[in-house]
Amino acid sequence: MYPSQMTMNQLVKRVLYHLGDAEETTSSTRRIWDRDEIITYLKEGLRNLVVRTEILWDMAYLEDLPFASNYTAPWEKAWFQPGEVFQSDSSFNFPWEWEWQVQKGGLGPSNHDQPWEVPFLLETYLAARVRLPERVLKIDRAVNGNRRLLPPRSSELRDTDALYETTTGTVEAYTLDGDSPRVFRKWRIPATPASQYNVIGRWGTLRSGFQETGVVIVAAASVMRIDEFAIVPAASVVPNDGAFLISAFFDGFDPSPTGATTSILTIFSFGLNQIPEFSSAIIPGGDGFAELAQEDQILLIPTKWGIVRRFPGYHPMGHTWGIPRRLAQNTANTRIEFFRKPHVPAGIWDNFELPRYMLRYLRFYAMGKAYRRRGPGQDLKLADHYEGRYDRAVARVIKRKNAFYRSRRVILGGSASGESRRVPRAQPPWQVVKDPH
Amino acid sequence: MTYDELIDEVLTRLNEGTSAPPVYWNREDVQEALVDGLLDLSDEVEWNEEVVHLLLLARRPYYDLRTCIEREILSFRGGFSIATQRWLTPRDTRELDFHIYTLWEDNTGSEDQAVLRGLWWLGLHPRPEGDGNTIRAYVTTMPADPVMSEELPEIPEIDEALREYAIAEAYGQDQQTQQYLIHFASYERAKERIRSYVENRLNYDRNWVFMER
Repeated sequence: MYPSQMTMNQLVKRVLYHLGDAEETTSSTRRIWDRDEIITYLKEGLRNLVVRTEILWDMAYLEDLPFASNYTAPWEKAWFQPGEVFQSDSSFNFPWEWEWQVQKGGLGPSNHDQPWEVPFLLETYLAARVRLPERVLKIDRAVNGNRRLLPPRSSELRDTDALYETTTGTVEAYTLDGDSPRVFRKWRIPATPASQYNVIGRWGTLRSGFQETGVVIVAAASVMRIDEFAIVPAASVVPNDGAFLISAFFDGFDPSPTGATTSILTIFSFGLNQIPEFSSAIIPGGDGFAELAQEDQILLIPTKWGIVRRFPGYHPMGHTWGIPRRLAQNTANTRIEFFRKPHVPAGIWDNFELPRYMLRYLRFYAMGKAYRRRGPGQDLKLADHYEGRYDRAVARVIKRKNAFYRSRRVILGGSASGESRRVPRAQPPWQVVKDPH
Repeated sequence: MTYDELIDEVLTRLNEGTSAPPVYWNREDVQEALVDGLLDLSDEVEWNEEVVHLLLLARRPYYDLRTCIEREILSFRGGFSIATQRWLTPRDTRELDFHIYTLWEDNTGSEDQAVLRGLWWLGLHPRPEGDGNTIRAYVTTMPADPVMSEELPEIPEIDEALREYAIAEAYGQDQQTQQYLIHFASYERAKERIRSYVENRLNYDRNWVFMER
């Protein structure tokens, strides 16, 4: 958690307080705005703020892999049982080329419906059209194998390559028009599948490190680390027959921000040999050893261990927080970098992902809406006032996004990026002081 | 002047005696308003400038400034590489793609260029090969919540700005719209003077030295 995150409940209370309608001091019969109304305004404001400012940035892989479909023949559809989940992209169901080409919004083709079938197929298809992830707001950059893709219109693609819908080869461009507003078309259709890792196991979290040669390995390599919490424990194990002892040395372990001088060392089940249940020990703050003994177990502990939070060279996608679930390689793979929609708090105890100062903007938005609503409490002057404050805040955020780039100095004969600026006026060196009089 | 003294002033201006029990507004209300005013002022003027060290990790694509710096960051103003002893050149990804090196993301080495994605994601080029290097990041942040017995920040007229903001907030919560707007306008005028002070700190002397006016 970064500093001063707030829950929906806390923010609703703040808004009601500033409206002079605090739940703590105003009886329920005399209150003007209820919390459901304010929650609606806050959620609306959150979406509005993020869409207008484009502050949330993320990336995702539109992998050049033969995707599995929901079914490979139309007759299979009738055999789906209630509760069986269609894959999220329900239009990706067309086994034969003529079907997906004539079907509106159809993505495909596909000739298998389970990922494990791929090695046994004589022919696999890589799709040129991929549906954009739901959270995508606007694409900022797209790459294939870390090489930027050009974004031509479909009309330009037609002029460039009359057979652009069927040409296969290296992906060099993409377009977003001509198919469907949310469909990303790669040009050309990928000729070779992307590199991918062989993952041992079918579900759960990634627990071990990996080598970049393409195999996720069970025993962690030294690249694994936990770097989110300023805790990088080095653990070693003395295995013996039937019992083990873990000695973990904490180097420079900081006391928690709350001032606690101890923390809890938790041992999770790991690798092929499982610890039957979580075990923990209290460890002191500062440098020191912690020891935890467990009877009748043999296990393998790498030099560094825990839940993997981040891998070198990989960006956490989807959310700032969480645990990586899937790793995609860049080689021959398509990746998009985009501005995304916000994660709207589902419940009142969920945190906003925006920092506290931005939640004030949401407060202005909600107060503007609350004062504008017809009925008791309506005050159009205050509504205008708060809406104005919200709009100014949005403009401020947009300006800040560009502050760093605009800080670059313009140099005579500099790069093309400075073309729009005026060349600075020639000035004497700073040591030269002219007589002001 | 301390925040506590400012609270007393605001209560007096609201006709709430500090000795008698409060009628409409108490100290906590005014304190809330002062903190809110400080946040508003800091957000708009960006007077709280800081330099922090950012620990670099091997080939990390982007650093989330919200978590790496652990403050409420407003804007990233610049970076200085300790390894190269150079300032990081601000870049746009289009420049890196089309003018620097097509596969710039594959480059490793000592960082000398930086790109900001969204508002908080800082990318470096080239990416460090190993852990442990640092850059100095020049940022503007929101100040920490003040302790009421502490002095106000040493910025001219900040007491007037906060006082007017707190009075406006008090009237606003009581639906006294006219009073609210009057005092908020006073706050805005004081805020603009503070903004002018912050942005033009050097101008008085500089104008004479460089004959810019």
